[in-house]
Amino acid sequence: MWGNLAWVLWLAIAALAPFLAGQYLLYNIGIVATTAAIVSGLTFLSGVAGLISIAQSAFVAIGSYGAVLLQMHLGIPLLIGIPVAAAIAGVVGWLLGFLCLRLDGHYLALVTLAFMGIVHYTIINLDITGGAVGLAVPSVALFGVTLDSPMAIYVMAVTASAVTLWSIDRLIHSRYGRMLRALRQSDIAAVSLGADRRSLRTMALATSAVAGGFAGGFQALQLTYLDPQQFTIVTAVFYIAIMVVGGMRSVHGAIIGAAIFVFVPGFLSGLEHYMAFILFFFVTVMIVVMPDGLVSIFSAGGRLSGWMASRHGRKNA
Amino acid sequence: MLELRNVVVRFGGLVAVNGVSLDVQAGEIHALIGPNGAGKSTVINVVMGLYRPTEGDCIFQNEPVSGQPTHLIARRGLARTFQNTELFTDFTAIENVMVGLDHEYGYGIASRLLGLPNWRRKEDAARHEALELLKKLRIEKFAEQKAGTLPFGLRRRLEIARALATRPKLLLLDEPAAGLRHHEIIELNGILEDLRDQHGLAILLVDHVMKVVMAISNRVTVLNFGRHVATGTVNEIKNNPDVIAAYLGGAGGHA
Repeated sequence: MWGNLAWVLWLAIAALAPFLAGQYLLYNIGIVATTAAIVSGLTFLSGVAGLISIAQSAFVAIGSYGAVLLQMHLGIPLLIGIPVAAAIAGVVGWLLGFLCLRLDGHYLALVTLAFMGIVHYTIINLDITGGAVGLAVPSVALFGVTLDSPMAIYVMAVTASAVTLWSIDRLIHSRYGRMLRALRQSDIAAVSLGADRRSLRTMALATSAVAGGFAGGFQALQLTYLDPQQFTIVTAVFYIAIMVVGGMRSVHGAIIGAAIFVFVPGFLSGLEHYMAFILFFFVTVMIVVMPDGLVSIFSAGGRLSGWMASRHGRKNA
Repeated sequence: MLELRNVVVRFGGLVAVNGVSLDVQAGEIHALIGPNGAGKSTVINVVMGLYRPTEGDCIFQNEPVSGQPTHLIARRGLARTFQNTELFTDFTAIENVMVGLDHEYGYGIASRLLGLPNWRRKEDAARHEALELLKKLRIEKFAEQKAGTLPFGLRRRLEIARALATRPKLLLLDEPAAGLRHHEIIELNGILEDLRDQHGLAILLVDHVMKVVMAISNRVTVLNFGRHVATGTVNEIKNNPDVIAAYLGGAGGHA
């Protein structure tokens, strides 16, 4: 029930923002949406399947550079190129999982860390990606109309993010989500019941890569420029931090975490130099005080209202 | 149905199982007993493919199992429970059973993403069958309770329900009666006999608890220090001098 209520709230905010918010706020709400969608891939991989990836930024890079390069060199329109690049990110994620001898916590973390480094240095050292200078993102054109107004970009990015978040939410609440959670809790029991550990976990990594690549492609439209410094181990760790702060068991946690990480630095702009320190101090506090993330405030609220209802009932009885 | 031929399992210098042969026939409850450390649980782990036998073969329905990954062995009709229970503790009882039904009621990712009728139908059917299995084990009252909050005796029964969800032909039970109270053991015996007699299931029962073993087993195999001591009916085993020696003699084990 809380899940449905949260969906209504998010969709209401997204739909009303263009009418109520100024341009700066609208831009940031759009960034929250794409960031949350990128992080939702990690929610599926880490929160549900229990695997750690330090490569989400690499899949975001494949999605955004891929779409831009497909447009520049093959003339494929961005709105087609982004899903294609996301599919490529998915294939790469699948291969990475397939090549990992063991898809367990530390092994996958190290492999994805190395992969993140490879992707980052590849981007910097290739001419086609613009090297360290980066690439300008061309505008989207649909039936001859150029969609480069802030409003048009907001609508495209938020729609794509909503589709991503909704899909991940459905996957979490499917037999795939159930099998991955079962493997996380007791992999020996799950495989003894016929769960194919390897293919399920590879599929989880591929799914998170598709989400990262797809939402990343739309984030490129918002940012209008691809700078290799957006795609580093540090940003990959930021995505993990967002997931942990918001709550890693549901996509709502990804949305809350993304909102915090986008808006808090704006409020604290005077403390710019200490931002990483403040955010990671916050992450540490969160892990200790609220291990299920900020989203658990709502379920705590649910418990509270349930408790009050039961007290009320007793009084009447 | 299940046949072990001279199975040896060595971990470095330690010999856990030393040349054990065993056959479980269709429709029988076959008990595997022996003092602590006799290698009983290792036998289950070998059958399920968690350990590879150093020597010997493990054959199920005339085809070898050794060397296959566990999930494929499970899909061939073998299911197990665990000595210390390995439930999915964050899941409700019914969700635990539904994990076992996953293969039977599969649907594609697209069917879930697009909300096609197929996924609802499959999920409903799985939920329905899971409830039937909980009823069979007489724990349907606890269907929506988190597995981690169930008392020990019910956890053991939930594990059996979950194992049955894979529609096994042979059930491997690792000490299902350990820690159970008297009336729980009586109930468990009834359930296991029912599974054999009504559903034609073969059961390999690993246990110390003689109130179970002696009451319901068709045949008993005794191990000691990883070695085969004897196989026979309950009465033959009770009077076998080697068995008496293993339990009461110098071995120092206890029943």
